[in-house]
Amino acid sequence: LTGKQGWKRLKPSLDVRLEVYEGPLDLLLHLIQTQEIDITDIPISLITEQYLEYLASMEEMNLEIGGEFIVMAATLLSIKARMLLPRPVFQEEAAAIDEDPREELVRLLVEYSKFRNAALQFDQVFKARGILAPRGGKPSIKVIYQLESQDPKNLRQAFREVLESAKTEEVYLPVDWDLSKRIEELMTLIESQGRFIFHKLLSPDRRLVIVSFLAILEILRRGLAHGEQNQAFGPITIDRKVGEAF
Amino acid sequence: LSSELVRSLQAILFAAANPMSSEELGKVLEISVERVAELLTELGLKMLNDEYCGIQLDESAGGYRLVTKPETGVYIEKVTQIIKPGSLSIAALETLAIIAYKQPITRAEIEAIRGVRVESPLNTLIERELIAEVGRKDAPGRPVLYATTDQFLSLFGLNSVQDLPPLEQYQE
Repeated sequence: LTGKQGWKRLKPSLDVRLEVYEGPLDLLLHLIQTQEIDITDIPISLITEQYLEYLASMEEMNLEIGGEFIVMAATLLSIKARMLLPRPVFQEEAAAIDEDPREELVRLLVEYSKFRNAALQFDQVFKARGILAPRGGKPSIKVIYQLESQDPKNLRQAFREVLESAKTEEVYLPVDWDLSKRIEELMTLIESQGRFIFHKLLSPDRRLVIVSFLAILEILRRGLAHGEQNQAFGPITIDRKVGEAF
Repeated sequence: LSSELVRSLQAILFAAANPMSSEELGKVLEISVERVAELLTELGLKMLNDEYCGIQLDESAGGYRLVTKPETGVYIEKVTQIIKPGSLSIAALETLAIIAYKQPITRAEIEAIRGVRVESPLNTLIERELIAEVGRKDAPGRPVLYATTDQFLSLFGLNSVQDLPPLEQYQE
Protein backbone atom coordinates (compact mmCIF):
# COMPACT_ATOMS: atom_id res chain seq x y z
CA LEU A 1 0.00 0.00 0.00
CA THR A 2 1.57 3.22 -1.08
CA GLY A 3 0.35 6.73 -0.70
CA LYS A 4 -3.16 7.95 -0.97
CA GLN A 5 -4.27 5.34 -3.47
CA GLY A 6 -3.54 2.49 -1.13
CA TRP A 7 -5.69 4.09 1.51
CA LYS A 8 -8.49 4.56 -0.94
CA ARG A 9 -8.72 0.87 -1.65
CA LEU A 10 -9.14 0.19 2.03
CA LYS A 11 -12.36 2.20 2.13
CA PRO A 12 -15.59 0.22 2.32
CA SER A 13 -17.58 0.10 -0.90
CA LEU A 14 -20.49 2.09 0.50
CA ASP A 15 -19.46 5.63 1.24
CA VAL A 16 -20.02 5.65 4.95
CA ARG A 17 -18.61 8.88 6.20
CA LEU A 18 -18.80 8.90 9.92
CA GLU A 19 -20.14 12.36 10.22
CA VAL A 20 -21.81 13.37 13.38
CA TYR A 21 -25.53 13.66 12.91
CA GLU A 22 -27.80 15.73 15.08
CA GLY A 23 -30.09 12.74 15.52
CA PRO A 24 -31.78 9.89 13.65
CA LEU A 25 -33.91 12.30 11.57
CA ASP A 26 -30.79 14.18 10.49
CA LEU A 27 -29.12 10.92 9.48
CA LEU A 28 -32.19 9.73 7.55
CA LEU A 29 -32.48 13.05 5.71
CA HIS A 30 -28.83 12.78 4.78
CA LEU A 31 -29.33 9.27 3.37
CA ILE A 32 -32.41 10.39 1.45
CA GLN A 33 -30.88 13.56 0.07
CA THR A 34 -27.54 12.14 -1.04
CA GLN A 35 -29.37 9.51 -3.07
CA GLU A 36 -31.96 11.95 -4.41
CA ILE A 37 -34.84 9.87 -3.15
CA ASP A 38 -38.39 11.21 -3.19
CA ILE A 39 -39.19 11.78 0.48
CA THR A 40 -42.81 10.71 0.01
CA ASP A 41 -41.79 7.39 -1.53
CA ILE A 42 -38.87 6.14 0.54
CA PRO A 43 -37.51 2.70 -0.44
CA ILE A 44 -37.75 1.54 3.15
CA SER A 45 -35.68 -1.66 2.77
CA LEU A 46 -32.74 0.18 1.26
CA ILE A 47 -32.84 3.06 3.73
CA THR A 48 -33.22 0.71 6.71
CA GLU A 49 -30.24 -1.28 5.50
CA GLN A 50 -28.08 1.83 5.11
CA TYR A 51 -29.26 3.20 8.43
CA LEU A 52 -28.31 -0.01 10.23
CA GLU A 53 -25.00 -0.09 8.39
CA TYR A 54 -24.24 3.37 9.71
CA LEU A 55 -25.05 2.30 13.26
CA ALA A 56 -22.85 -0.77 12.82
CA SER A 57 -19.91 1.34 11.68
CA MET A 58 -20.44 3.63 14.63
CA GLU A 59 -20.30 0.64 16.89
CA GLU A 60 -17.18 -0.62 15.13
CA MET A 61 -15.46 2.65 15.91
CA ASN A 62 -16.57 2.39 19.51
CA LEU A 63 -18.73 5.47 19.21
CA GLU A 64 -21.57 5.75 21.62
CA ILE A 65 -24.92 5.33 19.91
CA GLY A 66 -27.67 7.44 21.41
CA GLY A 67 -30.88 5.72 22.46
CA GLU A 68 -32.89 7.74 19.93
CA PHE A 69 -30.88 6.11 17.10
CA ILE A 70 -31.85 2.66 18.37
CA VAL A 71 -35.52 3.65 18.68
CA MET A 72 -35.48 4.83 15.05
CA ALA A 73 -33.87 1.56 13.95
CA ALA A 74 -36.76 -0.29 15.57
CA THR A 75 -39.28 2.03 13.92
CA LEU A 76 -37.70 1.46 10.49
CA LEU A 77 -37.73 -2.31 10.95
CA SER A 78 -41.36 -2.26 12.04
CA ILE A 79 -42.34 -0.17 9.00
CA LYS A 80 -40.45 -2.55 6.79
CA ALA A 81 -42.25 -5.52 8.35
CA ARG A 82 -45.67 -3.87 7.95
CA MET A 83 -44.97 -3.18 4.29
CA LEU A 84 -44.19 -6.85 3.73
CA LEU A 85 -47.47 -7.98 5.25
CA PRO A 86 -50.05 -9.18 2.77
CA ARG A 87 -53.00 -6.89 2.22
CA PRO A 88 -56.02 -7.81 4.31
CA VAL A 89 -58.79 -9.68 2.53
CA PHE A 90 -61.81 -8.15 4.23
CA GLN A 91 -62.94 -4.70 3.30
CA GLU A 92 -63.39 -3.28 6.81
CA GLU A 93 -59.94 -4.47 7.85
CA ALA A 94 -58.48 -2.98 4.72
CA ALA A 95 -59.89 0.43 5.55
CA ALA A 96 -58.25 0.36 8.96
CA ILE A 97 -54.82 -0.71 7.74
CA ASP A 98 -54.83 0.93 4.37
CA GLU A 99 -52.70 3.90 5.32
CA ASP A 100 -49.09 3.83 4.23
CA PRO A 101 -46.90 2.57 7.12
CA ARG A 102 -44.35 5.23 6.14
CA GLU A 103 -46.80 8.10 6.56
CA GLU A 104 -45.85 9.12 10.10
CA LEU A 105 -42.12 8.91 9.37
CA VAL A 106 -42.50 11.04 6.24
CA ARG A 107 -44.45 13.63 8.21
CA LEU A 108 -41.67 13.77 10.85
CA LEU A 109 -38.93 14.06 8.22
CA VAL A 110 -40.69 16.82 6.27
CA GLU A 111 -41.39 18.78 9.46
CA TYR A 112 -37.84 18.40 10.74
CA SER A 113 -36.26 19.32 7.40
CA LYS A 114 -38.08 22.67 7.38
CA PHE A 115 -36.59 23.64 10.72
CA ARG A 116 -33.18 22.35 9.73
CA ASN A 117 -33.21 24.61 6.68
CA ALA A 118 -34.54 27.52 8.72
CA ALA A 119 -31.69 27.00 11.19
CA LEU A 120 -29.15 27.19 8.35
CA GLN A 121 -30.67 30.47 7.24
CA PHE A 122 -30.61 31.83 10.79
CA ASP A 123 -26.91 31.10 10.78
CA GLN A 124 -26.39 32.87 7.45
CA VAL A 125 -28.40 35.93 8.47
CA PHE A 126 -26.48 36.20 11.71
CA LYS A 127 -23.16 35.91 9.87
CA ALA A 128 -24.24 38.51 7.31
CA ARG A 129 -25.22 40.97 10.02
CA GLY A 130 -22.04 40.46 11.98
CA ILE A 131 -21.33 41.82 15.39
CA LEU A 132 -23.64 44.72 16.24
CA ALA A 133 -23.04 45.55 19.87
CA PRO A 134 -25.41 47.89 21.69
CA ARG A 135 -24.31 50.01 24.61
CA GLY A 136 -23.96 48.59 28.08
CA GLY A 137 -22.66 45.13 27.22
CA LYS A 138 -21.10 43.00 29.92
CA PRO A 139 -17.33 43.42 29.95
CA SER A 140 -15.46 40.50 28.49
CA ILE A 141 -13.69 38.24 30.97
CA LYS A 142 -10.83 37.93 28.51
CA VAL A 143 -9.99 41.60 28.91
CA ILE A 144 -9.89 41.53 32.66
CA TYR A 145 -7.25 38.84 32.56
CA GLN A 146 -5.39 39.99 29.49
CA LEU A 147 -1.92 39.76 30.94
CA GLU A 148 0.18 41.68 28.44
CA SER A 149 -1.85 44.86 28.77
CA GLN A 150 -1.84 44.97 32.57
CA ASP A 151 0.60 46.87 34.71
CA PRO A 152 2.29 44.94 37.54
CA LYS A 153 0.09 46.51 40.21
CA ASN A 154 -3.10 45.22 38.57
CA LEU A 155 -1.52 41.83 38.03
CA ARG A 156 -0.58 41.53 41.67
CA GLN A 157 -4.09 42.52 42.69
CA ALA A 158 -5.65 39.98 40.31
CA PHE A 159 -3.32 37.27 41.55
CA ARG A 160 -4.16 38.08 45.14
CA GLU A 161 -7.86 37.83 44.37
CA VAL A 162 -7.44 34.45 42.74
CA LEU A 163 -5.45 33.20 45.72
CA GLU A 164 -8.04 34.55 48.11
CA SER A 165 -10.91 32.84 46.31
CA ALA A 166 -9.03 29.56 46.06
CA LYS A 167 -8.05 29.56 49.71
CA THR A 168 -8.93 26.39 51.53
CA GLU A 169 -8.20 25.33 55.01
CA GLU A 170 -6.10 22.23 55.13
CA VAL A 171 -7.14 19.67 57.65
CA TYR A 172 -4.82 16.92 58.73
CA LEU A 173 -6.47 13.88 60.09
CA PRO A 174 -4.45 11.14 61.73
CA VAL A 175 -5.30 7.74 60.34
CA ASP A 176 -8.24 6.17 62.11
CA TRP A 177 -8.61 9.24 64.30
CA ASP A 178 -11.02 8.03 66.92
CA LEU A 179 -13.39 6.77 64.25
CA SER A 180 -14.47 3.71 66.20
CA LYS A 181 -14.93 5.83 69.28
CA ARG A 182 -17.13 8.28 67.35
CA ILE A 183 -19.20 5.40 65.97
CA GLU A 184 -19.81 4.20 69.51
CA GLU A 185 -20.79 7.69 70.63
CA LEU A 186 -23.20 8.11 67.77
CA MET A 187 -24.73 4.67 68.32
CA THR A 188 -25.35 5.57 71.97
CA LEU A 189 -27.02 8.76 70.77
CA ILE A 190 -29.22 6.84 68.36
CA GLU A 191 -30.07 4.35 71.10
CA SER A 192 -31.06 7.00 73.59
CA GLN A 193 -32.83 9.44 71.27
CA GLY A 194 -34.19 7.10 68.61
CA ARG A 195 -33.27 9.56 65.90
CA PHE A 196 -31.27 12.70 65.23
CA ILE A 197 -30.70 15.19 62.48
CA PHE A 198 -27.23 14.83 61.02
CA HIS A 199 -26.33 18.51 60.67
CA LYS A 200 -27.08 19.12 64.36
CA LEU A 201 -23.87 17.17 64.99
CA LEU A 202 -21.74 19.54 62.99
CA SER A 203 -19.41 21.73 64.96
CA PRO A 204 -16.85 24.37 64.00
CA ASP A 205 -14.11 21.80 64.47
CA ARG A 206 -13.64 20.48 60.96
CA ARG A 207 -11.87 17.37 62.11
CA LEU A 208 -14.85 16.44 64.24
CA VAL A 209 -17.18 17.07 61.28
CA ILE A 210 -15.13 14.77 59.07
CA VAL A 211 -14.95 12.03 61.67
CA SER A 212 -18.69 12.32 62.37
CA PHE A 213 -19.45 12.06 58.68
CA LEU A 214 -17.19 9.04 58.25
CA ALA A 215 -18.76 7.46 61.32
CA ILE A 216 -22.27 7.99 59.91
CA LEU A 217 -21.23 6.48 56.58
CA GLU A 218 -19.80 3.48 58.38
CA ILE A 219 -22.93 3.07 60.54
CA LEU A 220 -25.14 3.17 57.46
CA ARG A 221 -22.86 0.80 55.58
CA ARG A 222 -22.99 -1.74 58.37
CA GLY A 223 -26.74 -1.32 58.51
CA LEU A 224 -26.71 -0.30 62.18
CA ALA A 225 -29.11 2.56 61.57
CA HIS A 226 -31.33 3.98 58.89
CA GLY A 227 -30.54 7.24 57.12
CA GLU A 228 -32.98 9.32 55.14
CA GLN A 229 -32.73 12.48 53.08
CA ASN A 230 -35.90 13.56 51.33
CA GLN A 231 -34.47 16.23 49.07
CA ALA A 232 -31.12 17.35 47.74
CA PHE A 233 -29.24 19.32 50.43
CA GLY A 234 -32.14 18.68 52.81
CA PRO A 235 -31.66 17.48 56.38
CA ILE A 236 -30.42 13.94 56.83
CA THR A 237 -32.31 12.04 59.47
CA ILE A 238 -30.63 9.13 61.20
CA ASP A 239 -33.10 6.64 62.67
CA ARG A 240 -32.81 3.61 64.85
CA LYS A 241 -33.63 0.56 62.79
CA VAL A 242 -37.10 -0.59 63.70
CA GLY A 243 -37.62 -4.15 64.82
CA GLU A 244 -33.99 -5.10 64.61
CA ALA A 245 -31.70 -5.89 67.44
CA PHE A 246 -28.00 -5.32 67.24
CA LEU B 1 -34.10 72.87 12.19
CA SER B 2 -33.27 69.47 10.80
CA SER B 3 -29.66 69.37 12.03
CA GLU B 4 -30.70 70.22 15.56
CA LEU B 5 -33.32 67.47 15.60
CA VAL B 6 -30.99 64.86 14.09
CA ARG B 7 -28.38 65.75 16.69
CA SER B 8 -30.94 65.43 19.50
CA LEU B 9 -32.19 62.15 18.10
CA GLN B 10 -28.68 60.75 18.17
CA ALA B 11 -28.17 61.97 21.73
CA ILE B 12 -31.45 60.40 22.89
CA LEU B 13 -30.59 57.05 21.33
CA PHE B 14 -27.13 57.20 22.87
CA ALA B 15 -28.47 57.96 26.34
CA ALA B 16 -31.32 55.44 26.23
CA ALA B 17 -29.81 52.01 26.71
CA ASN B 18 -32.85 50.20 25.28
CA PRO B 19 -34.32 50.42 21.78
CA MET B 20 -36.90 53.22 21.35
CA SER B 21 -39.89 53.16 19.03
CA SER B 22 -40.60 56.04 16.67
CA GLU B 23 -43.71 56.85 18.75
CA GLU B 24 -41.59 57.23 21.88
CA LEU B 25 -39.05 59.34 20.00
CA GLY B 26 -41.84 61.52 18.61
CA LYS B 27 -43.16 62.17 22.10
CA VAL B 28 -39.73 63.11 23.43
CA LEU B 29 -38.92 65.44 20.53
CA GLU B 30 -42.51 66.71 20.31
CA ILE B 31 -42.79 65.98 16.60
CA SER B 32 -44.89 63.64 14.45
CA VAL B 33 -44.03 60.00 13.87
CA GLU B 34 -43.64 60.77 10.16
CA ARG B 35 -41.07 63.44 10.93
CA VAL B 36 -39.24 61.02 13.24
CA ALA B 37 -39.06 58.50 10.38
CA GLU B 38 -37.49 61.14 8.11
CA LEU B 39 -34.97 62.16 10.74
CA LEU B 40 -34.08 58.54 11.50
CA THR B 41 -33.35 57.92 7.83
CA GLU B 42 -31.16 61.02 7.74
CA LEU B 43 -29.31 60.09 10.92
CA GLY B 44 -28.87 56.50 9.77
CA LEU B 45 -27.33 57.52 6.45
CA LYS B 46 -25.09 60.17 8.05
CA MET B 47 -23.61 57.68 10.49
CA LEU B 48 -23.31 54.93 7.91
CA ASN B 49 -21.49 57.16 5.44
CA ASP B 50 -19.19 58.78 7.99
CA GLU B 51 -16.00 56.77 7.80
CA TYR B 52 -14.80 58.30 11.03
CA CYS B 53 -17.89 57.08 12.87
CA GLY B 54 -17.83 53.57 14.43
CA ILE B 55 -21.49 53.51 15.33
CA GLN B 56 -24.59 52.91 13.25
CA LEU B 57 -28.36 52.99 13.61
CA ASP B 58 -30.12 49.65 13.89
CA GLU B 59 -33.83 48.93 13.68
CA SER B 60 -34.92 45.75 15.38
CA ALA B 61 -37.23 44.38 18.07
CA GLY B 62 -39.70 47.18 17.31
CA GLY B 63 -37.36 50.05 18.02
CA TYR B 64 -34.21 51.93 17.13
CA ARG B 65 -30.83 51.77 18.85
CA LEU B 66 -27.22 52.64 18.27
CA VAL B 67 -24.87 49.73 17.70
CA THR B 68 -21.23 49.31 16.76
CA LYS B 69 -20.45 48.90 13.06
CA PRO B 70 -19.83 45.26 12.08
CA GLU B 71 -16.35 46.01 10.72
CA THR B 72 -15.24 46.92 14.26
CA GLY B 73 -16.40 43.50 15.55
CA VAL B 74 -12.92 42.04 15.98
CA TYR B 75 -12.21 44.60 18.69
CA ILE B 76 -15.67 44.67 20.20
CA GLU B 77 -15.57 40.97 20.99
CA LYS B 78 -12.45 41.59 23.06
CA VAL B 79 -14.12 44.12 25.32
CA THR B 80 -17.69 42.89 25.73
CA GLN B 81 -19.40 39.54 26.01
CA ILE B 82 -21.23 39.12 22.71
CA ILE B 83 -22.59 36.18 20.80
CA LYS B 84 -20.23 35.65 17.90
CA PRO B 85 -21.70 34.78 14.49
CA GLY B 86 -21.03 31.12 13.83
CA SER B 87 -20.63 30.34 17.51
CA LEU B 88 -24.07 28.77 17.86
CA SER B 89 -24.08 25.02 17.27
CA ILE B 90 -26.41 23.36 14.75
CA ALA B 91 -28.31 21.88 17.70
CA ALA B 92 -28.78 25.35 19.22
CA LEU B 93 -29.80 26.90 15.89
CA GLU B 94 -32.32 24.13 15.15
CA THR B 95 -33.81 24.44 18.61
CA LEU B 96 -33.95 28.22 18.23
CA ALA B 97 -35.67 27.93 14.83
CA ILE B 98 -38.30 25.57 16.26
CA ILE B 99 -38.99 27.92 19.18
CA ALA B 100 -39.08 30.98 16.88
CA TYR B 101 -41.77 29.45 14.69
CA LYS B 102 -43.73 27.46 17.26
CA GLN B 103 -43.61 29.64 20.35
CA PRO B 104 -44.66 29.29 23.04
CA ILE B 105 -43.54 25.68 23.05
CA THR B 106 -42.54 23.06 25.62
CA ARG B 107 -39.34 21.07 25.70
CA ALA B 108 -41.17 17.82 24.90
CA GLU B 109 -42.75 19.42 21.82
CA ILE B 110 -39.34 20.59 20.57
CA GLU B 111 -37.91 17.12 21.16
CA ALA B 112 -40.76 15.56 19.18
CA ILE B 113 -39.76 17.67 16.17
CA ARG B 114 -35.99 17.25 16.44
CA GLY B 115 -36.13 13.58 17.43
CA VAL B 116 -33.42 14.13 20.04
CA ARG B 117 -33.15 15.60 23.51
CA VAL B 118 -32.75 19.37 23.61
CA GLU B 119 -31.83 20.02 27.22
CA SER B 120 -28.32 21.19 26.46
CA PRO B 121 -29.13 23.50 23.50
CA LEU B 122 -32.04 24.91 25.52
CA ASN B 123 -29.69 25.82 28.34
CA THR B 124 -27.25 27.45 25.91
CA LEU B 125 -30.05 29.56 24.42
CA ILE B 126 -31.33 30.60 27.85
CA GLU B 127 -27.79 31.50 28.94
CA ARG B 128 -27.34 33.65 25.83
CA GLU B 129 -30.74 35.24 26.52
CA LEU B 130 -32.08 34.29 23.09
CA ILE B 131 -35.02 32.46 24.63
CA ALA B 132 -36.78 32.68 27.98
CA GLU B 133 -39.36 30.83 30.03
CA VAL B 134 -42.70 32.54 29.49
CA GLY B 135 -45.09 30.43 31.54
CA ARG B 136 -46.42 26.97 31.91
CA LYS B 137 -48.63 24.95 29.62
CA ASP B 138 -52.04 23.97 30.90
CA ALA B 139 -51.28 20.29 30.47
CA PRO B 140 -50.34 17.37 32.72
CA GLY B 141 -47.17 18.21 34.61
CA ARG B 142 -47.58 21.91 33.75
CA PRO B 143 -44.45 21.93 31.54
CA VAL B 144 -42.47 25.16 31.04
CA LEU B 145 -43.16 27.13 27.87
CA TYR B 146 -40.33 28.80 25.98
CA ALA B 147 -40.37 31.80 23.64
CA THR B 148 -37.81 33.99 21.91
CA THR B 149 -36.60 37.29 23.40
CA ASP B 150 -35.92 40.81 22.07
CA GLN B 151 -32.27 39.84 22.08
CA PHE B 152 -33.16 37.17 19.50
CA LEU B 153 -34.97 39.75 17.33
CA SER B 154 -32.00 42.13 17.54
CA LEU B 155 -29.50 39.44 16.67
CA PHE B 156 -31.35 38.56 13.48
CA GLY B 157 -32.55 42.07 12.64
CA LEU B 158 -36.26 41.38 13.05
CA ASN B 159 -38.92 43.74 14.34
CA SER B 160 -41.14 40.89 15.49
CA VAL B 161 -41.42 37.15 14.96
CA GLN B 162 -44.09 37.92 12.35
CA ASP B 163 -41.23 39.18 10.17
CA LEU B 164 -39.78 35.66 9.90
CA PRO B 165 -40.11 34.18 6.41
CA PRO B 166 -42.98 31.66 6.25
CA LEU B 167 -41.86 28.24 7.42
CA GLU B 168 -43.29 26.56 4.31
CA GLN B 169 -40.60 28.37 2.33
CA TYR B 170 -38.06 25.97 3.82
CA GLN B 171 -39.75 22.90 2.43
CA GLU B 172 -37.56 21.10 -0.06
